Amino acid sequence: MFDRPFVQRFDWCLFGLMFLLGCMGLVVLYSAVTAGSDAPRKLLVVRQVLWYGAGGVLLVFFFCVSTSCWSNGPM
Amino acid sequence: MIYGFSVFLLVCVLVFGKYAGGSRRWLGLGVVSIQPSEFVKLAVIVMLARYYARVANVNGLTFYELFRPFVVVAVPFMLIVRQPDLGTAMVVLLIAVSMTLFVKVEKRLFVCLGFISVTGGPLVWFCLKGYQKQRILTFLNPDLDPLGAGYHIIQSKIAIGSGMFLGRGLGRGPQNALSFLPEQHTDFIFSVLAEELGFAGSFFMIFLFLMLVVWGLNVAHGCREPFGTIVSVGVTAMIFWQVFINVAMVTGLMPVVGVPLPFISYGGSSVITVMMCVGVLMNVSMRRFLME
Repeated sequence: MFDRPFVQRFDWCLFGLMFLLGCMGLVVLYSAVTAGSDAPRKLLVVRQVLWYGAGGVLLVFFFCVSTSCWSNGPM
Repeated sequence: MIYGFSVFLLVCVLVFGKYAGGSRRWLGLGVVSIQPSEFVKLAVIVMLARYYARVANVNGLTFYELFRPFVVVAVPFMLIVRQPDLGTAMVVLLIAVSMTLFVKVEKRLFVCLGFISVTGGPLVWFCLKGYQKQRILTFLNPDLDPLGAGYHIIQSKIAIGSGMFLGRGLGRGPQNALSFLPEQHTDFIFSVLAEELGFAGSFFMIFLFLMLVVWGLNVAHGCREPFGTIVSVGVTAMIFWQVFINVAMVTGLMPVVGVPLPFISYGGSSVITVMMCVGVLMNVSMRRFLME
């Protein structure tokens, strides 16, 4: 059990930094694949957004699984 | 389980992997390709943290206690070197070294390993492949082959310099728009950022990464269990070394190696790995508030 509600124990700072870096990455990637190109590869940006979506699902999974599950085991 | 699966995927890469750009690093899964060497980073972090949390002590680790971590790192390291992907192999090694030094090794052993590394380091030259030696020679003298091996780094430095203080504006950088920059959406994306957003944008990005590293160490410091602390240090080390190597590489301070910039470079495996690592960090951070 936690001693405070979810909103207070969630690491908003970490989330904010990740969000800012992710947005910056998408903007620069869009520029890198579209600028001056006759055939802009916008599909790469869409794919990157999809990868972020998949990463988000795995982030939630790793966020929810208790660390005690990993700390016990072989090795 | 993550570790075993990652090593299995690395073996699959060597057998069934897609051959591109002189190396075999990707596994084709229908419409997408994945780079298993990226997932190995998290697997190694969890395995080492699990072991170190059990054996770490104030006197430092002994030679015998370091044998298991050595095997855990050596297996994926050798498989990644075989691809060949020296950059990712180096990141895996640096993460392991950072975590090992964090939990402390015996002073005598530390001196001994340091001596072996310094004296044995130059011998690595004889194990390198031809193109890897060329990259080091180009790093020392980029003008050696300006239209060949030195082309990447020369164009990258021109792009970074031409950005000046505020940059040329998004989509307006000639080095990017005219495709002078190689790999502009993957490993060399920092050059695009520096050209189009200038020193101000680059500084802001590096500042955000610095904040992320400091916050990661803060999470490690606040954690009440050894496993959480060590895993947080490992994740922070991974982000730090990737950013350091990528930025140093595109600015000509290090030889060119294939290391993506976390969150910024295009690449599914890289994005997924770094987000899983942030998930782990958030998990450890939240558990500080668990009641006894």
